[in-house]
Amino acid sequence: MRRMRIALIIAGLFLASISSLPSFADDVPILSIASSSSTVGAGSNVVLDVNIANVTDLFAFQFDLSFAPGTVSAASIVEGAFLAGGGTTAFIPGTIDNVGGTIAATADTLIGPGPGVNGSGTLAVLTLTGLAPGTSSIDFSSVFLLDSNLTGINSSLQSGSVTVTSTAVPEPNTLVLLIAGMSFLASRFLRKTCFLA
Amino acid sequence: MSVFTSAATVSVPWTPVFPDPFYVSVCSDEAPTSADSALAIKANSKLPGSLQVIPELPASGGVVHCMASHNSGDVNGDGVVNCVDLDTVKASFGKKLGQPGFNPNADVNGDGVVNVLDLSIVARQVPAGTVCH
Repeated sequence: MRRMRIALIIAGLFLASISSLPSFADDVPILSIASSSSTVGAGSNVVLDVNIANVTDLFAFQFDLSFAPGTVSAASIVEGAFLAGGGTTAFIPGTIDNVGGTIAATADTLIGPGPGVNGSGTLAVLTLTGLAPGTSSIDFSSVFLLDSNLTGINSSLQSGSVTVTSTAVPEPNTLVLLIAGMSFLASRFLRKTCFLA
Repeated sequence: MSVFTSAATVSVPWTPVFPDPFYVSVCSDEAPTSADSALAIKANSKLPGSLQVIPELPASGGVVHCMASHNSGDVNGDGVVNCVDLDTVKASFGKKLGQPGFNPNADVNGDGVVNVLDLSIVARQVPAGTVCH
């Protein structure tokens, strides 16, 4: 019985050590969508970053994005800071189609025979406008990541999403002011009530 | 895409040598015509170095003509690779062979679509630090 317990403990320790090892997937660059807020009111804008993580020698990229056209519309897409950190670039914002819900052929490349950039950062910044209540997935397709030999870099893709509420979501500062104002009015009302009593 | 042809009297097997690197190609025992340009684009494949296998070669050798697209980056053929070449690729970006706006000169690697592969081939040959608007 005691031997069995020891064997189980050793097996448990072995499994724990295996699970803590970095997996192969940890080495693959991750292309993802990150937003400052996951919700936006109808008629308001939300800014999303197209990010890359753990990339080596990134020289150029291209991707398409899709979204729910009845829920959000694309206002703009501009170059992020990551690739431009490696030198001058030639950025192509791509073609926005708010009827079909796509942004096609957004691309960027470094200029010159030098190396690519390493690490993590923002490739592009996308601004969406909330149209009607609902949730829109933001998905990648036709992704190209090229190194400085113009060889493809494998990557893992992580979609994003934006939920549109029926009214504009108050900014945090606005919410704080609203709560402070309500508290002030409540305290005035309570003081007045106590005074009369 | 800079398209050129090569003709030679050969024996089989034959290894024609084009400027390296290049993307190609169509070979036959007849002189190429204008219609062969589209055929070359459809048949394109990236090959390292020189062409090693040409199934179309006549078994006994003879005169063969090969069409190759060389990824020079000099899209407008003025002898220099600069922002004008990048702008030409950008103007046709995302277009596919047969679509309005497709510019075969911007399809530097001749794969039938103008994309980041073409843009980066040109960009690598523009001097470092160049600012293109």
